[in-house]
Amino acid sequence: MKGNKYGCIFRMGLEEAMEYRFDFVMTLLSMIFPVITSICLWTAVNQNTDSIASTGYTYPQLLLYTILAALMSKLITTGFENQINEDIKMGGLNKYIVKPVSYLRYRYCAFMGNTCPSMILFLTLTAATMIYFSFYYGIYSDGLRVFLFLVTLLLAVSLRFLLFLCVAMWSFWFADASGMFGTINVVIWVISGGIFPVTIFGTVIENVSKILPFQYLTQFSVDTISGRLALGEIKQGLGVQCIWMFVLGILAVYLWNRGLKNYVAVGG
Amino acid sequence: MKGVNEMSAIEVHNLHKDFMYYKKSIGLLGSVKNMFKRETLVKEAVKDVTFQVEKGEMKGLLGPNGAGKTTTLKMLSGILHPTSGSAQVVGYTPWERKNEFKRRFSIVMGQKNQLWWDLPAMDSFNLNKCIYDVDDRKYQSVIEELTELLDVREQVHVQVRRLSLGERMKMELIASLIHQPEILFLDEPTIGLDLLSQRKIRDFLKYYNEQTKTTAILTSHYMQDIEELCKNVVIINSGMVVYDGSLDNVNDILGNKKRLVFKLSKKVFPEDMEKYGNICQIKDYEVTFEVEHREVNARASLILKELPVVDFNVSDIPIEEGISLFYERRNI
Repeated sequence: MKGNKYGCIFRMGLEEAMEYRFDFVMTLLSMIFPVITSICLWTAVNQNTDSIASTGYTYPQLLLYTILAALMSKLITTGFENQINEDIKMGGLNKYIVKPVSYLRYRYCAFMGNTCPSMILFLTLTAATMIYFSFYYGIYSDGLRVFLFLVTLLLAVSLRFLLFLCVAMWSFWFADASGMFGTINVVIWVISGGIFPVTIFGTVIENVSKILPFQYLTQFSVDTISGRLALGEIKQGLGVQCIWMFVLGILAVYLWNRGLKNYVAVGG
Repeated sequence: MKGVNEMSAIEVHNLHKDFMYYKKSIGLLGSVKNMFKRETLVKEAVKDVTFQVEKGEMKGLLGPNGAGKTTTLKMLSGILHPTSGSAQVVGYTPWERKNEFKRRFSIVMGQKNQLWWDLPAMDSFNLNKCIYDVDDRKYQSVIEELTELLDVREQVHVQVRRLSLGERMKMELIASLIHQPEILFLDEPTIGLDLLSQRKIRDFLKYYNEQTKTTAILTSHYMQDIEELCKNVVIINSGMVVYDGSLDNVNDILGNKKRLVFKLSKKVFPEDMEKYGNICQIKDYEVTFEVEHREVNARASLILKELPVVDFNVSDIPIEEGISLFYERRNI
């Protein structure tokens, strides 16, 4: 029997991630401190002023947001951009170019395989958080919403992949792009709503962020499961997510084809 | 002229590759200046390289570091586009990167790892099986044969990062042969290995080439690899072909010289021996002369007559030294 090559790459990515399971648990633990800080901050704001209402969220919704957004930010942290940078800089692309396989699809399947164990852990923790909030704060999600959340999540992970794929392609034109990745990661963490909802920056920024891809990496999925978005808004958001995936997909292929002409395959 | 069916497996014509690079002055000031104005320079890595490799032949590609060997292999495997020139590998232009072509060759790079570092080599073999669409039965028989030949049956289940360099190179070879390629590019497959591992890999390549008649190009810094595996060699220096032919003829081209080694019973001053020929080496009571082939008898007789000789020996110039003479010359 002949195996499907991309399915095989997915499995290899999954196996590789399982070799580093401890690493992901440690990453999750590192998230506890910023989450506690945010919860304390919102609690203080809630006790002393009425300004929390201006964020468009209730206090329990903000607490839920802080926890889920932190979990999701860790889930969609990619790291593969450094591998691509290394491949381009040190000549590691050679091994993919000589094989009958698409490098971009190869990276996508390996990335999705790599993300799988984190995704399972993330979904388990999200389910536990939602159960807790339904008991104590009465925030419920029905079956349809959970389904839509899973769809937005899958699209968010893919969108994140495509976004960073485009960023990683810069390595074709810069001697070392890895320094830039750190900065971009932090900026994306903030503007995707990883720390707090983009809504708190005001209506103008909120409206602009609705047409940009960033909030569809984190905030959109969290708002879907927490019940803050109406079904119509979710459908519209899914549309924007798909459009950005298409645009970034085309851009990544274009940059790859252009970049490959610049590739010098250094090293023996 | 050859007909279509008689075409060589690899045909390279006037292949040329230029690389652009930037010049940078030393130190921090140089780096700052470089940020605003950079002087672009062009390096001709490969210049008008032409050669052929016949079906089933294993050809050596020799040259010092930076001669253009690896760049040539990278163009022949489609990794790099040439600046000009043409090449046909089993009828395909490599840099068009057609999947049908990719299924028919493999490249092994001694200095690059192609396996998944954190997983056992068996996983990478299985991935290559899927990538190259090899069916189960064929895959099993290839794996069994190759792991047996290279003596790595147990090691295929160990994570690649835990393997020794020699074992890893054996895994690289197996991974590259799973789809039974017609063409094999071997770029320094024995680099950094101990003598025993070098020998095992050499023996394996010899056996594999004899059994399967796979066409191969081999680059290596170890002369023994080339001597044992390749009848014909292409020598390149500074990007140009300086010799293309039989390995046996390398010394003939270099003037057909011989080495005369004499063991003396007592020490003789070098200046008293200069008249007998070009002295290559004096070590204790042993002196080595380099003389023209046609003068061997006359010189040897004279030395035996005039010097206190206890033993002597005539030999060819070691192939390694012959080739290094090519490296020093740009045109022969």
